[in-house]
Amino acid sequence: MKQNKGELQGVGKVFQFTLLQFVKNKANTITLIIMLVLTLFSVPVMTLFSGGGMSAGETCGISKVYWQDQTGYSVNPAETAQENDFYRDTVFEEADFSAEDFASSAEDGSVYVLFSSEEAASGTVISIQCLPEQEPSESDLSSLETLMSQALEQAKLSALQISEEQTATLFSGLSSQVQTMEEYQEGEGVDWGVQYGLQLGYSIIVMIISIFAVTYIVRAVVEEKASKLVEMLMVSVQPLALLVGKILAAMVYIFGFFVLLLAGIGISWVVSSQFMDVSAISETMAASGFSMDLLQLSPATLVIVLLSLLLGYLTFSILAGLSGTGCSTMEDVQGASTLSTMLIFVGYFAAVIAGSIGGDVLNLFVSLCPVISVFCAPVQYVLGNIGFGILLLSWLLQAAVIVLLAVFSARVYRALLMYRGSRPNFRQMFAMAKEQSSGKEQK
Amino acid sequence: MSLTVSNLSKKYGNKTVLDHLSFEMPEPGVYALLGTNGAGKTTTIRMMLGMLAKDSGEVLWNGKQLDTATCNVGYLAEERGLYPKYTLMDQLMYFAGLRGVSKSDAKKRIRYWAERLQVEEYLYPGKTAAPEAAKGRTKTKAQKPKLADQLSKGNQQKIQFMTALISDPELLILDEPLSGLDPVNTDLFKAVIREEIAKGKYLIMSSHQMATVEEFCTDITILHRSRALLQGNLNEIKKSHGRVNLRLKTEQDISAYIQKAGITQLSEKEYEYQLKVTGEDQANALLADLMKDSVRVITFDLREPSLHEIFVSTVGGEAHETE
Repeated sequence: MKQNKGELQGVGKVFQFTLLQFVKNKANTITLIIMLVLTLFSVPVMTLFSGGGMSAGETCGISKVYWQDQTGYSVNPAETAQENDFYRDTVFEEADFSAEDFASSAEDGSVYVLFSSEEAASGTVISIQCLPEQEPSESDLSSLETLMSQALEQAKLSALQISEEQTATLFSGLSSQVQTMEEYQEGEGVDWGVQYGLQLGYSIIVMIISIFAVTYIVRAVVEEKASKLVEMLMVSVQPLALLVGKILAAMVYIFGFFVLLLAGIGISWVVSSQFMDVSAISETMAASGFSMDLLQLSPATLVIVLLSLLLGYLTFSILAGLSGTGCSTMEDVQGASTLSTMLIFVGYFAAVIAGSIGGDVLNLFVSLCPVISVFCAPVQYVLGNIGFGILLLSWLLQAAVIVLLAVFSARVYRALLMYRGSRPNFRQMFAMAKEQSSGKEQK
Repeated sequence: MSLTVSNLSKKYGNKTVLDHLSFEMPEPGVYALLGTNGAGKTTTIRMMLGMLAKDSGEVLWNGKQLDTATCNVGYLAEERGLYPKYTLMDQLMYFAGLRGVSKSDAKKRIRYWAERLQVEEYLYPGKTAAPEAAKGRTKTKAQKPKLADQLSKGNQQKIQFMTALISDPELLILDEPLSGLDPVNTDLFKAVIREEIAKGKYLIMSSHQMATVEEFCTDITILHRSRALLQGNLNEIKKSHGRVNLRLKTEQDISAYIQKAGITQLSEKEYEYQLKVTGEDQANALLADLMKDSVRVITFDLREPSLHEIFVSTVGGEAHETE
């Protein structure tokens, strides 16, 4: 009969069982459903808050627009309307009759637009006429007014022989910045607000994943120990395999959870875009200086982020496992989570503070310092503040910390599992590790 | 196959918890580890199973270091437990998987033991008997699978016993297997233990219940304060103590005869006497006196000391010497 007695043999079985129990857990299922519902509503809600909401498939209710240009700028609303899907069912036609003849010559449901120059009004005038008792809706008229204004502006700029690029610059708004000479010489960087926002966002994701991990792992470990099952299990599987199986199961569950949430957002985006103008969200983000280009979204970036998250997860998970193993009852769970949670908060706040201060030396430090680097290194790399070499060094340092923690765990985990009494502190754990390495152990 | 434990020792700091314990099981049977609380029984078992590091000594199974890679061990720990909020079937399948039992075998064995230990209703809710027996019957009501914390202590103990038996172990280690069981379940457990013995299994049993141990075991070790005070074959140990327990029932008061013969009277109830004699000669002399005076003797039962008596005299004597 095949038995599981190697140091890590049996990990698969522990992993399967633990994952199955995570999935079957009612509290986890309820949390997942609530989060999925929230993500499904996220895009419509964000669209509404971003000022969007126009139905994407909706078209203008005006069937025909007659226009006449008396400005001398060669205004062409038909050309401008081609760029706007809202007018796909509207016909634009240059009128061969005057405004006075509109009522008698026009088709039903049409409007008449006259572009004229008036010295008294010190500029050009756009007048829109409707047929009696066939007045379009306020929103259609407002949209048409905007479109006609755009057509006139374009015509004016074309008359001045301004290129498309120059036009874009003219309409791109204005921003100002104060720089030192050094900063000016270094060249243009990413806006401070965007850097800070990106660091904050990533740190929050890492913090949530880590706290989830700590909670799940501590609970799973303490539950097993408090249920007095450990001895029965240790006949079949080595203590380290018990810990690693749980860490992997929690990892798959948590990362799967986040993938489901991302999928929920994706579904929400696709479904919402069928009946809402979701571009309002990206426009709002762009207005605050953030663009998807900044994230350099590519398979390589995703791998970097995933690997960084994984290393961070493993660091906090092993610590959580060790803290949990020292507990003898479920009442100790809170205390056991404290150390890992504290370290997570230290890393999070250090990352947020460092993100707000910036500077080459600080960026380098937070990218290399274990625990803090979990929150900072990938962001600093994506922002271009550190090179790939530093990122690699950061990973190596994190991997070294994980290996040290794993070796330490392997030494004390068995003794801790058999330990009964008040929760040992790390000093006592080190003493256990020392005793273990000399072939003895503490009671 | 054989099990050899030699020179097993363990210290926690300056405190010795097991002092050079050795014993051997050259053939199948039941070996009992007896002792007072804290004598070192559980420590011995944990060291045998590799849960605790040994300071010295070795445990051999067929001449090789004992571990579950070379020996299919079933273990019922003294500290009993189950995952309180997981279904019983999930837990049993998990333990079976960890022991390397295939899913199909595990299912068959769970069915067998569920029936044998009378816990089918908890493992197969909605069915009055195990699935095979229930074929052809209709489900009367869909019930949720039972969780461990919904079971009584005795039934939880049965499930734990199943986890120990699920791999059909060749070496079964039972630490206080009958503690906390009611008489009905005690008999059920005893019957299963008898079956395992009949199958030619090696059993190591730690218990405080001397009558139970006496019923099953062939060899014993009495541990006291981390040392083995008495070891060997139970029958030989008993023989070495001689036939010194005399139960005598008469129809009249024979206190004067007992006193005259210099025999220790332990108790008396309605002319039924429990006596401690020095040997068969003293007992026979008393019987001869009674016969001579035509005292009517209903029962004359001269026997060896019970394990309980041997244990108490051994441990008590040691305690007395230490004091």
